[in-house]
Amino acid sequence: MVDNERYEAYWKHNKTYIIVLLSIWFAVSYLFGILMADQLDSIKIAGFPLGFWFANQGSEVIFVILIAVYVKMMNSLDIKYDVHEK
Amino acid sequence: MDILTWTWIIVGASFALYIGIAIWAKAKTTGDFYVAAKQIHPVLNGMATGADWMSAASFISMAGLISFMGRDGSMYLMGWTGGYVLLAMLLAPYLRKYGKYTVPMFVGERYYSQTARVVALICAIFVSFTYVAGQMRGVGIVFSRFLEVPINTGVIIGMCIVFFYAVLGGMKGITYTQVAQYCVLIVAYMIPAIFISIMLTGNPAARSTGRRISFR
Repeated sequence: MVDNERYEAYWKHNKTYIIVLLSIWFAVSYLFGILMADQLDSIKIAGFPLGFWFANQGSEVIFVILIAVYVKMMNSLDIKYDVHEK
Repeated sequence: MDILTWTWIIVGASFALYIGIAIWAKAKTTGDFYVAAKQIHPVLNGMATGADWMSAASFISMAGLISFMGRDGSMYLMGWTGGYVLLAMLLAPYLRKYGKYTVPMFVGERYYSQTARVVALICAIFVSFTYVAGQMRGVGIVFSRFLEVPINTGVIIGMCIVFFYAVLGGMKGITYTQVAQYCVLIVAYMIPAIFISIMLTGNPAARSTGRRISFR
């Protein structure tokens, strides 16, 4: 494969990861934590209303997981396309 | 010993630790100063970032905002934390790949434009000032209580100490002092959380009692 094609494919892969992960990011905070909070509050988990939980703990925990997942995926992508730091 | 002596000993010891770290980590080159010569372990970097997340502005202002605003305050919590996701995915990796030290340097290089660089610079200054204003007010309040001086004097004392170890140690000094702060902060957060839980529910790990607790 020519270098340019390889970089293009790598970048496309990277963008897909970012779009997917940022959609989750948007959903858990803005949708579940703010817009749909009132509806979700009717569901209670261990006594906590779900919308409240998403805003105050769930979204933050998911954010940390998102960053970890992105780092893991990009590390293996870097190796796959041979652009990793040596 | 009375409580004031204890405060002096504990605060004095933690400042001695921070300044000691700064002297030990003294920056010698530009690379040392901005990126600690890229020699810091990722876990330590993570701890330093964590200390930034829960520093004075969140310790004092966020807790206050949430208790005053109730549920509306959680938008600050989400915005504050959500920014780290954007940073980790859209900015941080490329800063490293480009080998640049600052965000305006990277933006200017990436978009081949001095204008973009200036815009990034203005944004960076604006964000930093907003952040520093909160942080410094927090530092001022802490010092004014501890040394019994007016808040403005507290801000100046805090500024001098931070200036000293930031300029001397550069990024390496800051990172290691942040790592030390991370440990201090975690303990400092846990103590009131555990005791408030014991006072409210008789159980050190807070659990929902199924009813709203009113502090009024």
